[in-house]
Amino acid sequence: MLKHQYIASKNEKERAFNAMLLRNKALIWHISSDYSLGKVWKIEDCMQEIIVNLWRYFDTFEGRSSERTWIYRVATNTMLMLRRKDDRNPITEHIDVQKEINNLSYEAHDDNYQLLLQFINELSEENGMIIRAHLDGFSYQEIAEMTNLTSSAVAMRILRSKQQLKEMYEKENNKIEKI
Amino acid sequence: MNDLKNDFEIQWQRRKQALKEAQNSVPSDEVLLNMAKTAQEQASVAEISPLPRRRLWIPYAAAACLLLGVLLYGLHFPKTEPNIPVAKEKIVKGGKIVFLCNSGCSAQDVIISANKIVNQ
Repeated sequence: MLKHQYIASKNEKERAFNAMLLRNKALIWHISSDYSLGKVWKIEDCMQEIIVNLWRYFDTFEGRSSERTWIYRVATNTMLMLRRKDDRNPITEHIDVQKEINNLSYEAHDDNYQLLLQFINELSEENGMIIRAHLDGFSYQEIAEMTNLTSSAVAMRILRSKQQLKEMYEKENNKIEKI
Repeated sequence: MNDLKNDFEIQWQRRKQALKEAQNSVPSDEVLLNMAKTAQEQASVAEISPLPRRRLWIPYAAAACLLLGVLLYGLHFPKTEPNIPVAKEKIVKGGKIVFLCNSGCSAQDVIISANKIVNQ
């Protein structure tokens, strides 16, 4: 390929990529903030990592699944990779006790929602991904494409995970009521 | 209990709205395009200079360690199966007992295992 042809196609690719990012910016932002890595990674850092991976694999996107599904899959895998990295190298930091207490009392207003998010985080990686995708409005078929499962397996996992979450939620709330 | 179930559903539905709500806090297009530019620059730097391949040495190091381990093990424990003589008594005419054992065992090994047999 001649140099000017290469540059033209590169520019075209960059334009297509940027347009795709702008179309899906809310989705990328949402996934970056959803995995509770905020304590170690800033959301912007997560987003940057996701964009790097999207660009790296942009050529492999063949359009077999929808653009949104493909982005979701790459972004989720990136977040899981970052989380595994964190698990291997946990960062210890100084805790400001007073600040933590203030945060807790602030969160107490919103704690049932936080509780649900926390329980979603505690699900296994795959079930967590499936339930998140379901909550983010993806169809069973789309989730099946992301996870290489069948639609019926996805439906079953969602049902079970939701049941599990509900039980965890009720158990925790009962515990709090007793206290 | 019903309240809890209802509350769970409320939080569940609330989580379903999270993606829509993300629209309000998403960074500006400019920030996003800058991030894309950084990613593209990183990739092109990697394209221009594919070396150093950072982790190419890992399999070699692992193989070397394995080889070294095998060597050390071999030196330290030259005979994985010690030549414990499987002495077999053989009664020879004339009242003598001859002990046969695996080749390579020392005289002391023979005596030990012979004693064992005699004690039995």
